[in-house]
This record gives sequence, C-alpha cells and structure tokens, in this order.
Amino acid sequence: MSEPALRNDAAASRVMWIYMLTGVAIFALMALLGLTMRMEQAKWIPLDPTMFYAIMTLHGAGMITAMALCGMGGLWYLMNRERALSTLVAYWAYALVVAGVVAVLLSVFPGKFGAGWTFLYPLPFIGAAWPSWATGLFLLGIALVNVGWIVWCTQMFGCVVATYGGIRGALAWDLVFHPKRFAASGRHAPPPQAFAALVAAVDGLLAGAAGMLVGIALIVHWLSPSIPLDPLWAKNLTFFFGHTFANLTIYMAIALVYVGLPRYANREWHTSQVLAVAWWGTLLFVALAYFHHLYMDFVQPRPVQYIGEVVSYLAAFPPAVVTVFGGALLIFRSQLRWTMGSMFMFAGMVGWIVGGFGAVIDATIDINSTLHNTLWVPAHFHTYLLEGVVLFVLGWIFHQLEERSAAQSSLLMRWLVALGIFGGGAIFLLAFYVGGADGVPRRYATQPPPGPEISAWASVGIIILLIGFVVCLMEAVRLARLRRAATP
Amino acid sequence: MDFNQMVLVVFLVGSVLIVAAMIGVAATTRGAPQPQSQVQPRGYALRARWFWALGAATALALLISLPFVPYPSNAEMAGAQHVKVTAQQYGFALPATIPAQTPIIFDVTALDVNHGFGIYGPDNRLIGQVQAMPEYVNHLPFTFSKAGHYTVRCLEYCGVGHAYMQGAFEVK
Amino acid sequence: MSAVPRRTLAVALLAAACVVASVVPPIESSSVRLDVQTHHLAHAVIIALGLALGLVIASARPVREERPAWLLVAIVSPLMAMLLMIPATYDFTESHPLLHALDHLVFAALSLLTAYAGEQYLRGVGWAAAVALEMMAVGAAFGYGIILTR
Ligand code: HEM
Ligand SMILES: [Cu+2]
Repeated sequence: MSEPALRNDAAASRVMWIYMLTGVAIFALMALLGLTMRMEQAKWIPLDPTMFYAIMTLHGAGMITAMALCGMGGLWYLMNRERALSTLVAYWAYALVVAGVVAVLLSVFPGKFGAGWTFLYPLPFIGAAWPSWATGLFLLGIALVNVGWIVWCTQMFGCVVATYGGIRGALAWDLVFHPKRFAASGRHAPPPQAFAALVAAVDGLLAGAAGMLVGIALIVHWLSPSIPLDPLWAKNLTFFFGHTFANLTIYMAIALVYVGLPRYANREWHTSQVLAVAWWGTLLFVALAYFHHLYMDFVQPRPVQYIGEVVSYLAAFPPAVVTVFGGALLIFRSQLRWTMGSMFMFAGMVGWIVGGFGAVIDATIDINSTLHNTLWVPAHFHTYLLEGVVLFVLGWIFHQLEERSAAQSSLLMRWLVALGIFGGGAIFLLAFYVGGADGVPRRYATQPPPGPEISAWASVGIIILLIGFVVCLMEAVRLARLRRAATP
Repeated sequence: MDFNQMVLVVFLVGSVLIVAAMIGVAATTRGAPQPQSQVQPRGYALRARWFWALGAATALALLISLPFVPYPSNAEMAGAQHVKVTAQQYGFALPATIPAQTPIIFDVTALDVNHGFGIYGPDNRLIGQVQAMPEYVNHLPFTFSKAGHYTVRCLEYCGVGHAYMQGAFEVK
Repeated sequence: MSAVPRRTLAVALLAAACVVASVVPPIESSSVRLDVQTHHLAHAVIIALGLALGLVIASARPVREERPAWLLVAIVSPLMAMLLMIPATYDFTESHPLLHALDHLVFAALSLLTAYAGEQYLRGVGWAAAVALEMMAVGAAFGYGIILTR
C-alpha cells in the first residue's frame, strides 16, 4: 500500500497544509473575536448588542469550521497513505467549505446576522436586527460548508470501505469476533486512524443529511415564509447537525495523535480488539448524544431524554478507558522526546478528559436544570476544543515542522508557551466554570453580577493565552524557515 | 454552599486529580525506560480494573440521578395549581404572585421565537428552568418553600434584547 | 437462475414499481387531498424505490477506483430531490394530475441517479447516499410544512 502513497506524498502534504493553515488562520481571527466578547462582558469596551451577537455568531461558526478544516486535512493526509485518494475531491470539499465561510463572514460583516451559529428556527426570521439578505446569505453559507463536509465524508467513507473490505472490514468485525480466523487469513486490521475516518464519515454523513434537510427547509422558509416548520423538529435536526459536527472535530483530530505520539515515544500504537470495540461505541454514542441539548424541552419524548443521559455518560468510556488511557500507557516509562509537538499532543488529551468530565456533569438531566445555558456550557466545550482539539492540531503541525527541520524548540520556549497557553487558558476556562456555577447565563451581552467581574478575570487569562499563541506562532515560523533552508 | 457550588467543587477536585495523574505519567519518561512489551501487560490489567471501576461509578451515578428528572408525572399534572407563562421578545407575561408551599405547574410557551424560563431565587441563584417554545407548552413543576422576590431571566438566546429579558414574581 | 437474468428481472420489477407508484396515485385518485405528512411519506416511498433501482443497476459493475465526476452527481441529485419537495407546491400539484405524476417521476429519477452515481464514484458509496436521501425524505414528514404540536 505504501507505493502510491510515496508517489503522492508531495501533493498530499500540500492538501494537508492548505486545509490546516486555512483552519489556523480562521482560528486566529476568531480568537480575537472571543477576546472582544469577554472584554465587552467585563465592560472594558463598549459594544452595541447587535454587534456583540453578530460577533458571537461568527466566532461559533468560524471556530467550529476552522477545527473541522484542520481535522479534515489531517485525516485526509493520513488516509491517503493507506490508499491514494483523489486530490481533486479534496480541493472540491475545501473550496465549498471556504466559500461557505466567506458567505457566513459577509452575512455577519457587514450584514450583522446574529441569530447564533445554531440558527435556531424561527430566530433567524423574527424580530431580526439585521436585513433579510443577511439571513439568506448565512443559511447559504452554512449549507455550503455542509456540502463541502458531505463531499469529504463521502470520500472518506468510500476510502475506508474500499480499503479494508467493506463496512465489516473497516469495523474490524472479524478481528473482534473471529480473531483466530482473522490472524490466519493474513489480513491486516485497519490502523487506529482508520477508525477515526470511519466514524467521522458515517456520523458525519448522518449529521450532514440532517443539516441539509433543516437547511433546505430554512432556505425555503426564507424564500416563502408561509411554509411553516415545526420548531421542535427544527431544533432536533439543528442540534443533531451542529452537535455532531462539532463533536467529530475531536475524533478527527485524535487521529493525528494516534500517528504522531508513537513516533515521539518510539513505540507502537496498533489496533487491538479493545480499540475497535471502543470506536464502535463512539460511532453509536456520537450519533445519539445530541439529545442532551434538549433536556429542557419537556415536550421531547421522555425515553429520548433518558437515552440522552445514558449515552452521554457512555460516550466518556472510549476516550477515558481506551484512547487517553492508551496514550498514557504509550508514554509510560518510554523515552518520549519532549518537544512542542509531543507536549501539545499530550496536553490535548488532558484537556479532552477534563472537558469531558465537565460535559458529563452537565449531561445529567437533574444538574442540567441549573446549568443549561449558563456559562458552564461554553466552559466545558472550550476545555476540550481549545485545550484539546486545538492542541492536537498544533501538536501535529509542530510534529511536521520538527521532523522536516530536524530541529527542536528550547526548554525555555516550551515553558513560555506552556505557561501562556495552559496557564492563561486555565484562567479563561475557570472563569467560565465559576460563572456557570453562579448561574450567569451564556450568550448575554450584558451579564448580571457576578458576570462582569468574572469576565474581567477571563479577559486577563485570554490575553496571557493569546501571548502564548503568538510566541508559539513565532516559533513555528522559525522552524518552518529552518526546514526551507534544509531542503534546497 | 448550594448545589451548583458543590458541583463546581467536585469538578475542580476531579480535574486536579486528572491533571495530577497525567503529570505523574509524564514524569515517568524521566526515569529508567522500560520496553513497551514489558509495560503493556501491566497496563492492560490496570485498564480492566479502571473499566470496571468507571462502569460501577457510572451505573451508580445514573441510578442516583435518573429518578430526579424535572419532568412532571401525570399525577403531578393533575394535582397542581397551573400558572401560565408566556414569553415574547423581550419579556414574560406571568402572575405577580405565586403561593408558597403549593405544588405549581408552570405552563410555559412563547409567541415568537424560542426563549428560556429561568427562575432565580431571592438570593439570585438559578433554581430551575424550562424552554419556552412557540407552538408547544412545556410544563415545569415547582414548589416554592421560601417566600420572597424571584427573578425570571431568559435562558435561550432570542435576539438582541436577550440579556434584558426579565420578569419577576413574589412568592407569598 | 444465473445472476444476470435475476438482476434484469429485479431491474424490470423495480422500474415498473417506480413508474406505477409515481404515476398511478396522482391520476387515479386526483380528487383525494392528502395531508402534508402523508404526501411527504408517499414521496419517501417513491424515493426508496428509485434508490433501490439505482443500486441494483449499479451492482452489475462494481467500481474500485475513485471516479470524482460521479461524486458530484451523487451529491447534487439528492439536493435537487429535496429542493423539489416543497410542501407549498403540494396543493397545486394535487389539482394537476399530469404535472403531479411528472413531479413524482423526477423524484424517482433523481433518487435512481443518487444511488447509481454513488456506486459509480466508488463501490459502497451509493448505499451511503441512498440511506442519507431516504432519511431526509422520511424526516421531512415530521415537521417540514407542518406543525406536530405535542
Ligand atoms: C482562543 C480563545 C477563545 C476565546 C477567547 C473564546 C471566547 C468565547 C466567548 C467569550 C464566547 C461567548 C460565551 C457566552 O456565551 O457568553 C464563546 C463562544 C463560543 N466559542 Fe469560543 N473562544 C475561544 C476559542 C474557541 C474555540 C477553539 C472554539 C471551537 C473550536 C470555540 C467555539 C465557540 C462556540 C461554538 C461558541 C458558542 C457561540 C454561541 O453561543 O453561539 N471557541 N467563545
Ligand atoms: Cu432570550
């Protein structure tokens, strides 16, 4: 299998870098918007509410899309080594997503669309402080991102099914249930990253279909407002799409750790029966966990609420027992080389588990009664997205830069970056958790006390965090330059 | 310390333990290395125990928490005093006083977009909530033990006036 | 019976079912007014038949290397099908039987194309595309153009 991969490698890494650098660039812009929001909540800067909510909408949509782009590019690159993939299709998906981002951007600046990235029906249409064209452009933008996502998922699905012998092979069914026969057949189990690709593709297509259905309904409603939509139906579909899409960014990015971390530890991370079964669990849980977004909709069918809690709890098992435990075991008493890359990958796993713990707490129906739509929600998802997914991506980028430049960062540099990104990040996140426990609502341009005071602490944390990212960027540029000097 | 603050403490203690455990693992890379073949069997044995421990904890948490869902039973629906709440950009229509020590069902709906009906007690702590969805009525059961001034805040993003969307009632 | 005639038979039967399901109800019961939900579900049945037909036709020649152009067809076709399922047009089409039958035939053709093009892009993908389109078609019946207040 490695023959075509080698031939294709330059083109494949170009795909990866284009996806990832676009994602990181969007991330950088959106981080500044995040700081703006927190400073406004702290009353450090004045901001018109219309502007605040427009910024909030763009930040949410932009960040999730940015992380999706990084995951898509990274996983595409890894799967291309398993089986040569069409770069054309990868560029189509990229072009669609980027076109969608541009449309969303224009709908917010100058359109001031501000119904939240969750565009919950009927808010985009009723009592809007923005022109109708902005609503249409935003919906079109999200639809384009979704179509790009569907293109990518379809290619991944085709890839894993064709490479490992159908769905059954891609699931490693025989490895789990007929291990002797499987070993005797001389076949190889899919590598760990292939499970990430399978889960992203399958759950991604389900979510993409839900998003497409509600997206078309919303666009048709925008064109012809007399067509009614059921608000509960729209909410279910919107969150199935939004939750699953956001959630999958983690499961895509972890593939980078499956491949990167063993190289630092000089050990192997291979597919076992346990790993396969864990990913089956993830496949199921990711598709069902979104129910926890509707706990406070008491009209939702009762069994679905209970399923939501059970599945949300179970979703913690694959990472806690298999992936992160496995990652810890991988480096336990190894000769791990601590570099920027390995530091980020390892720290990202910590952030994933801590944020997951916060999520499981909030996924308890009884506790959700007093945490739902408080700052606890951004608290936990920023923990595993900012101190999880973002770190996995940065870890991979540094891994690439370190391998190609054969250089490393100094201990001082690593401490500086760690203090900034983990230390500043901890202050930023802690402020969210404390606010949430105090009942401060999320998505408030003007918060009741003690919100503003907490926001001030958060802003200090964010500034430290952003300094960490700037230092990190400078270091990345330095390594990238070295690489260019090394390859004539 | 109220319930949410206890939740926060549990979360913080748990998080510190997780971080400490992971730093402990990271620190082993400074000691004498061992081959993967030697580390793995011990790790897998520990993983099995960790799986069962986490499974037991999860089962326990589910058993304890699931009976406490805030959804009303049919008996509660029939036996309570119903209070109508209507949310609209950017305010709530609801009675000015509500009796204490009486089982109440809030019948909550919205006229335009989705809102949230969040009840903040006299000490300004969030004590319960339900969504206010157009076309639907959500029934939130609640019995107030303390008399006093209660604030209602919108807990679902509903447009530019969201942060100012408030209501209030007295419990007597 | 060998595999080829069996496939031909299946193709013939499914094609006949598609046409009958698309054409007969609008013309035979042109006086009947369906509610939006039932009408959506009726479309979902036609779409299921079209998808099955596409999968059976494509099974003749499994494609083992990516053919990107077909991917576009496999993604645009279900989009078109869903865009055409506008509940506001149902009243109008119900009073124009021929147009209504044509409308249904377009659904059948687009779903056939969805599944077939998916399989022509790469084996197995047609199934995924089929599941996705069928889910959207059935899902539409529970809130697109109607409000099912509980
Ligand atoms: C770089 C540092 C970041 C800062 C300073 C930041 C800040 C914020 C703030 C202040 C909010 C609004 C909270 C509220 O409801 O009051 C927010 C919301 C949000 N953030 Fe971030 N964030 C950061 C990184 C990220 C990342 C990495 C992601 C995802 C990958 C992300 C995704 C979101 C989402 C989805 C929302 C919800 C928006 C909504 O409620 O509609 N953020 N962020
Ligand atoms: Cu509101």
